[in-house]
Amino acid sequence: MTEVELPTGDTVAIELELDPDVRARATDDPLAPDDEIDLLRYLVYLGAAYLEAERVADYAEIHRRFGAVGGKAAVLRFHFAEAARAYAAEQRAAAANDRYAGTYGLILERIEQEIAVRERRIANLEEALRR
Amino acid sequence: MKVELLAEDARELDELGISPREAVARGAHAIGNRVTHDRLSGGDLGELVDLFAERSADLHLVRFHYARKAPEYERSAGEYDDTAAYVRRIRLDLAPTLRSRLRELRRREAELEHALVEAGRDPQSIGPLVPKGEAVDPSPKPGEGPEERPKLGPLPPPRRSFLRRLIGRSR
Repeated sequence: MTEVELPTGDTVAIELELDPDVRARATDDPLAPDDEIDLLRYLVYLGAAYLEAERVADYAEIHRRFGAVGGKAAVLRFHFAEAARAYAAEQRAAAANDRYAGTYGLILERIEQEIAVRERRIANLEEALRR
Repeated sequence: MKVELLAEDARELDELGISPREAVARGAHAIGNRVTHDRLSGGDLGELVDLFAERSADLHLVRFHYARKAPEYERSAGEYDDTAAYVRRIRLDLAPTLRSRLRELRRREAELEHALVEAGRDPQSIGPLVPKGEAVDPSPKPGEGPEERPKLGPLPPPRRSFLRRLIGRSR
């Protein structure tokens, strides 16, 4: 699978307002996110894309970019889904490993305590034999 | 309200020469008026622009969420590797070493007890003693250490069927 360069997660916070009329229209738009913050973010991306297309204004070029964006989105979605799946699996496995390590840790602690007791007793037994 | 954008998004908006507010206004105008992929009509330039914008916005939204989650995913993978390595170390190194040391000490203890009994002394009067029922089983446990998994022997040759045995007997 082709790699897509992922930017860092660094963010900037911007103060934006959502017009109630736009909010109402967005409820009828099947592609607009329901969450208000996500909707505002979506509108930023959507508006920027319209401006980009408007500047190009050439059918063939927009068509080419449409294909490129679609391909990139498909690859990104694939990697995102894979990463999320791996994350979920790691979380489950890590929880199991934690429990395992905790249980084993207690057993090892008991063994270490017993070793210390037996070492002391062996020293005492050797001492008694010498006397 | 405060909306987070990727620093990369902000840079791209700068390059386009549009502020986030202007972008919101443009995007808002399209909401409810655009042609979406599930409502295609003719295939003119306007429709293609709508589809391009739809797909581009979708890509950027996915990119935003993925980029925000990626550090957590990476950290999780690192933590998982660390825990798995620790568990492996316990299983293959620590536990077998400690059990082996315990076996060695018990052997030595038994030798000394035997020598004391032969000398007419009572070893049980010499402590400290491990409280009854609290001694750990020092025998090697399955999965501990680099032992090989037990293998099954080869299968016996197939038995002749009842009919073949009958035929064989009658000959």
